[in-house]
Amino acid sequence: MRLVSICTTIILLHFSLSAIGQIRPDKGWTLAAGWSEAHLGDQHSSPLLYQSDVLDLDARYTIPGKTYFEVGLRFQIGTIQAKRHRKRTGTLRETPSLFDETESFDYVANPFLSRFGGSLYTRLLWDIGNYSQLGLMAQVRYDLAGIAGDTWQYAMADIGPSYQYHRSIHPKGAVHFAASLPLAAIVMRPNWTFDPSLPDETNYFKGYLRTGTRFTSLHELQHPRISLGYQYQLPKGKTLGVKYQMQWLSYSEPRPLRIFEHGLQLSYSLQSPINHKNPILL
Amino acid sequence: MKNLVICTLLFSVLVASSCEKEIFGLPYSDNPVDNFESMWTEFDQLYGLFRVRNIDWDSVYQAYRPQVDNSMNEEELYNLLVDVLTVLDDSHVGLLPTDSPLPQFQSGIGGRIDTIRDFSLDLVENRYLDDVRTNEPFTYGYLTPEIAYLHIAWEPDEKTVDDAMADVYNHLARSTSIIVDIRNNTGGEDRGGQAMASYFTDQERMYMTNSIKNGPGPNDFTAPMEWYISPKEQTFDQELILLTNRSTVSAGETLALAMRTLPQLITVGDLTQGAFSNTATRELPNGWLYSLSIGDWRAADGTSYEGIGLPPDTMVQNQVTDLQQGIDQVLETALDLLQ
Repeated sequence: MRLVSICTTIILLHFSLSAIGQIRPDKGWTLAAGWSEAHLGDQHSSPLLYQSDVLDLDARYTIPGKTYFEVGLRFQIGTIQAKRHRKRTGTLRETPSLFDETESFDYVANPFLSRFGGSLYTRLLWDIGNYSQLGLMAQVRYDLAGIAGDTWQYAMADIGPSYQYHRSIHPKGAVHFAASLPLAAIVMRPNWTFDPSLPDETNYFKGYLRTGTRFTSLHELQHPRISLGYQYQLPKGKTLGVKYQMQWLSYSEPRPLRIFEHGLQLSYSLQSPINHKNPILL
Repeated sequence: MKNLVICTLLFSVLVASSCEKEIFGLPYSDNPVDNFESMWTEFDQLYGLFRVRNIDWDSVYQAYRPQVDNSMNEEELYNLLVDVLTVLDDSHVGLLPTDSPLPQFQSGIGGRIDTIRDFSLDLVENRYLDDVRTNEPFTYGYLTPEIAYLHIAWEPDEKTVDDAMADVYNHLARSTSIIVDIRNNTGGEDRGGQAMASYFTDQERMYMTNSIKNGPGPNDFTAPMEWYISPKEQTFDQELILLTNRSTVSAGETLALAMRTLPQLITVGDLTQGAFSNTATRELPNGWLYSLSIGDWRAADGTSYEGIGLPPDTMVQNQVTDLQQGIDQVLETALDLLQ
């Protein structure tokens, strides 16, 4: 049902945008910075809903054409806290010795910088019409956060279909829409008890890699990603852009994890993204 | 374009609205009943010592669930949860209220030790030791020109152990016997203790197994994993005495398990605390944190000392009055055994 809704939304978006003209970006680098907010519910880690706010940095290299290629690296750093409780403090008291004073210290959940993440992604697309391209997207993603007084990690490598739509809406401006949906993925999650696989107990990542890694597909992992952007051409072939992006992640093993993330990015392209090979139809 | 904006706004509103609990699949609200249910259920699925400690967790639910209602205040809920966790009598089980004046709670023997009255490292250093060096977590020196002393305060990772043990070995190698003191050892990494004990063995020895909870069912455990010590490049072959007390806990106890496989070892002091398992930290819907034991740690012969502690060969308990007079009776007994 969820998949049907996502597909319907993508088709509707396609037709709603189909009255606009065509645009293709030129080869070159685009740098982007922005903010993303995420809501994260992970039954396997906590009964609490967590909210994160992160600085979102993105660098991507694009080779356009009838065959479109893109490779990019995204990095996130920020805070994550239980949405209802925000930053919490508890006082831990050490058992005193008869000859020493009692020592206590505050445990803070969570400090300001408590979420880090990154992804390496690539897309390869082919023309399917004047304005649309369809192909594949592959991504490797890693998230690290402080949840429930412990280290929370999620890592995934996925591949699936990707769609994008470009169109100029006036001589210096263009809209862009993109969507993707992983169909196959390798997901790394904590095992049942969160205890890293012994004897790798000193390294969570290696422990989880050994015990919590599974190959999965749509029956367990639903992870649609969409973005909508606008680009404006500056003098000397540079462009400024703004992009809204949204993604939903639902993974059921070993207990349900759900993440909704959305945010805004401002981008600056070092080469002109606008090539008026086709007349703008407005 | 309008469709996209509408869809996006609709989804954002849904997420931001009161439906979020359902959208994110989170079953509990912040009220006393859900806090109790959440904690009981997590222990039911994650706790690894019900069978070892012979605890009927369902009967705990039947006894305490009727006492919970949503009119309880924070302190009443805290007291009830403390009562529930007290049943487990496990030093690795604790409750930490956050943003609250209510105190941290620790179950088991560890929670009942309000003050450590039977050991002072300062006393050992000042009264008994010569040529003292400190390289955390080790404090080491000489009790007599022939008898060396090594106190281990906790178990860091293996690399830290190896780095620090280089100087420990150089300094203590000329001794004829060594007293290894793990009283007040607060634990840490089992692998660190494994590395430490490997400096005292002349051959590979199995000393421990552990099974970790790997599913929600009562019998969902990993196959037992065997732990071994094997000789390091430089090893001590001296006569050995190991000192323990009730504040020797967790990875300090798994270190003791490893040392006890050495044929040249005698143990002196008090029982250890009896909390061997690794732990996981969880939280309640009200934001409080708690910890629980997630596995079944046993000696090589299959015996579980959870909740019991490792018994010494020679039982000696320091008295407060002895310590106040500058006498460490446990250490002096060990010295007598060696001399």
